[in-house]
Amino acid sequence: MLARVDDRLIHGQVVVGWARFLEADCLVVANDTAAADPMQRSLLPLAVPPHIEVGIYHVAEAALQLASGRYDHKRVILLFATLADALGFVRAGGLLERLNIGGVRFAPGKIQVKVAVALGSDDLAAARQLHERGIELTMRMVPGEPEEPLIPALEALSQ
Amino acid sequence: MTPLLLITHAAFGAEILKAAAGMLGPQAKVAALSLELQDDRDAFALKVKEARRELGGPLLMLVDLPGGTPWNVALRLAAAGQGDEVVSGLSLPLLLDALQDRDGLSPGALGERLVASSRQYVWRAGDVLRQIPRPGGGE
Repeated sequence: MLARVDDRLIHGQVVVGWARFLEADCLVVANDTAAADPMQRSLLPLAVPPHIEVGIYHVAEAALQLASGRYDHKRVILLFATLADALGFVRAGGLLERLNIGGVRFAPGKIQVKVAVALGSDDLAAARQLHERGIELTMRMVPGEPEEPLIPALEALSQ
Repeated sequence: MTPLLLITHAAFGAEILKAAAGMLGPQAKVAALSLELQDDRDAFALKVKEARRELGGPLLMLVDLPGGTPWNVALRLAAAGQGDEVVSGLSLPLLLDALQDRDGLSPGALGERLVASSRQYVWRAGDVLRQIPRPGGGE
């Protein structure tokens, strides 16, 4: 339903903004660090209201879980921390048509594209590969904002 | 006296602390951290740890929204077993209670007291006005 790149994973914008707007009842987190960390596995579900199910998987495992059909009757928000993880998901057989880039925050060496979108070389390489696979990449932090395509914004910056 | 650390989206905590200090006078052992839209979460978590170092622990963290990044970061600290506590639902009445009742209470005990009092922080005029006898009666 919504596949989103957000380095804060589950947080206010996702739970209060997107989940309500989309009437989502399920958050699937595709993240190797979170899946391998017992504390994150117990803490992440505590950040959501009780009616929202939370699944936390390694990136490749998430592709299998979604393909298995177990979430077919759910209104899912799929969360990646990075564009590289989204690419990993697709390479593992995950299906993506559109990817919402909600928050990739600044670190030294990254280019600031929008207030909460700053891309480094890894991000740019992953974005290019996702784009070449025909996946639509757009930036929108919260539902009330207009959607802005990523690739034209990058091209505008390099001019 | 239990130190207090306010952790919120934008400058909500900083401003609400200003409002409280306007009523109670300047406060010691309290600080506010503001999470901006563009802030990296892990860098912010380091700021929280640094603030804890400066204030001294164990402390009570007051955050705005359960499930938000301030809550998530504070929760991790509370889970570290150093006696810290987190309460969400920061509001001015809650902060005033926290500032005035924190002597001799551990962060956990103070947090429990704030949660127990929390319903009293939200009043509805209709309920209040109903208690005033009016000519002709009715709400």
